[in-house]
Amino acid sequence: MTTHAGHLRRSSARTAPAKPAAGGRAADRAALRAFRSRRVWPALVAAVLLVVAGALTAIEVISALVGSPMKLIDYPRVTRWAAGGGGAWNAWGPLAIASALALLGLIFLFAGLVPGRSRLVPLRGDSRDLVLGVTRRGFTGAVSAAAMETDGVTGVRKVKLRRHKVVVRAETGMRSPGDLEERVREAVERSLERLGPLPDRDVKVRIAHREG
Amino acid sequence: MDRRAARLNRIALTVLGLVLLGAGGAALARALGAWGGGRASEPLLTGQVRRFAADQGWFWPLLAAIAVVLTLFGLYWLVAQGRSHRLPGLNLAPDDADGKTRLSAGAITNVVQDEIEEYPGVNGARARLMGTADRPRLRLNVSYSHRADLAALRTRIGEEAVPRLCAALEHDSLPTVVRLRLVPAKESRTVV
Repeated sequence: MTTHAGHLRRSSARTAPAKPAAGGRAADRAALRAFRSRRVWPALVAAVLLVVAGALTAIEVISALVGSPMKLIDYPRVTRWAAGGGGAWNAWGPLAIASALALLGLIFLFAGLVPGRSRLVPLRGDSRDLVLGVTRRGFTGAVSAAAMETDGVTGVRKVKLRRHKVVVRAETGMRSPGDLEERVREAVERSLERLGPLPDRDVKVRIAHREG
Repeated sequence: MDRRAARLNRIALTVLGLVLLGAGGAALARALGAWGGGRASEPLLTGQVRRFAADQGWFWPLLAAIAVVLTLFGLYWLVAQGRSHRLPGLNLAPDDADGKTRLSAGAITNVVQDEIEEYPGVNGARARLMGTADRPRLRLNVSYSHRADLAALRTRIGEEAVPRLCAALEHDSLPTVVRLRLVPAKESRTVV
């Protein structure tokens, strides 16, 4: 079943050479980078604003330069406003515009500098050429399954996934759970070890008693 | 995954943010009297500014040129969001002078898809070839059920599926990005 690929070429004798052990930190970096947010939405908004502002300016200026102003914007009125009392730097109109510009700039700057939440959790691998990521739901599902398998746990209320931490809220019917918290934590840690999420996550367990 | 658009977005957003923040901040500072109360209560457009714009022959053409450049950049930026750098097909290196084998990307990806879909616990797989013919990259979307062992899945993709494809494509390596998606188990796949 798995030999289809061999038909694709005539001399399939040569197999792929073993990958260089580029693993370790280079592989981790590649995995972290592969799933980082691309900032598509802020970029789309900014690009559309840029196109609209640029095109309006270009149309008005060029049409005025060649002698037949388009006047898409009623700029004689804007000019009168800007040259009059209402257009003083410290009047409310210009103040509002300046604040809006600064705020918009701050938002774009923020969008550009803050890494943003990736939708997938990168997994630790040993090659830069093979990068895996699992959805947040898949990841919390694995954590919750590991917690559920612990003796004494009757349910998992919530798994919260943070950048460096996983918080598991489990339920038990036992009145005195004893070392249950510790056992759940160990089970979840074992499953994380197998998955290898990047970056490493600490496990925190909260046990709630449920009357059953 | 197309990381080129990601870098463009990061840099352009940062620069645009800085420019807007600088302009807005300077205007606010002037309005709040950073350059003295007299300048704060001046109108935005004074006779001096208008005369300057009218006297300099280069002023309006320069403004027009800047506006055109910004518009073009904005369009390029928009288009970059949609570009996927998907590869339509690959030419295999010809052994004879006149022979040439062209493989469609669909034929290549179907093979990987079928293979991965046979792995235990996998519900479906989608493969896509990206990049350039010289340096192709593979993008895999794999949906799996709770029954799948992710560690085993990773090993099989990395040690069986991808190397086999590398051999078929006559490439030493094929950078691969795998997205694993958990889906509810499909009962029908348990019985073969």
